[in-house]
Amino acid sequence: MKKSNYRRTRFISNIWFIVLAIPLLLFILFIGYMCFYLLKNGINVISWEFLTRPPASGMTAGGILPCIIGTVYITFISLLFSIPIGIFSAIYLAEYAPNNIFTRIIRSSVRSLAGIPSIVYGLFGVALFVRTMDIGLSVLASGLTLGLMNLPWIIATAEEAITAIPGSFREGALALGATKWESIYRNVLPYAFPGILTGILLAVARTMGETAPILFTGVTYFTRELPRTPLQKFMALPYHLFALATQHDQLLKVRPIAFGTALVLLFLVLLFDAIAFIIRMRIAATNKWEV
Amino acid sequence: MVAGNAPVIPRSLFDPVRTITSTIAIELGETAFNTPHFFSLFALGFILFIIALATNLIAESLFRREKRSFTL
Repeated sequence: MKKSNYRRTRFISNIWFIVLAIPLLLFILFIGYMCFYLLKNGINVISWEFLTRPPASGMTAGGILPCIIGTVYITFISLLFSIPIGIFSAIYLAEYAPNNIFTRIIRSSVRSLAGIPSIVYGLFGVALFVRTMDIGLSVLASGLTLGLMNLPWIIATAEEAITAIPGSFREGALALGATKWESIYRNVLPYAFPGILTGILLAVARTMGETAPILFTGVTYFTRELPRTPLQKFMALPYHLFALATQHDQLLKVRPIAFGTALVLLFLVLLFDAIAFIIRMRIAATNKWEV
Repeated sequence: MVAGNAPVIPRSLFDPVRTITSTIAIELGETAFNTPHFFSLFALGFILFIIALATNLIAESLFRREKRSFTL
């Protein structure tokens, strides 16, 4: 009697395991198939020339160098803008802000801003940077718009990383006579760093792939020169892909180049993720603690 | 881009639709600054923000209720 009961329980447990594993498996299959499809269609156009030449003869030949440079450029500017403001805001929210209704409103506003669609940031960027501040369609306007989009993500993830550090870390430093800032700077931030970095990297991956915020703030279909100053228009990988996939008048002819562009974009995002992963592993290995 | 871009109310799952986000994306390129059209796109953006805020507040209140029931 007891044995059959045990067997039945184990049987149900196994069934649940399968039921829960299938969605994950489907997801992995789907992602794997997508990567395979991109590789199969895009690998043929990837060459040294493709990565180092501007497009030629109406996008049907040549490379995508201006797009790669444009994407890296706007990502860099957006991070320059959003990392300092984001991390300082997160430190304030996690460590200094009093726990009252006002702080709670700010916190849930940040969460909500992280959830609104990117085109709304594009709209705001057009109104504020391009028109009101009169920066014009440029790398700078796009970078700042993307920075605004990143800001709530970085604040929310950094705040969570800082709150996750146990209170004893702060108390230890305070008990030895450190000021509040010293305890945060020496005993909290170094340990929260891997979490903060993860948030920043998610933001990088999102920034590189976004088309909507840059669509009306400076990206252009084709420009002969690389952006030398931040006040010029630029080309970017996601927009180039969008243009080649839907706007070009010889869609089938440029399809391989579109796949190649998608592959390069995917690779760039993976590259940044890999760098972050390595940095995080290094830091996690040196910063071991026991709670 | 995949949704079909038709500004009518869909009658079945297979009808093309047009979302708020794509409306902003399509029409922003053809509006002049500080015109009623431009402002109505901002109104659309505001609606999206309200939706995000409402979802968030619901999630937060659920979370708070959960937490209370665990501690008691």
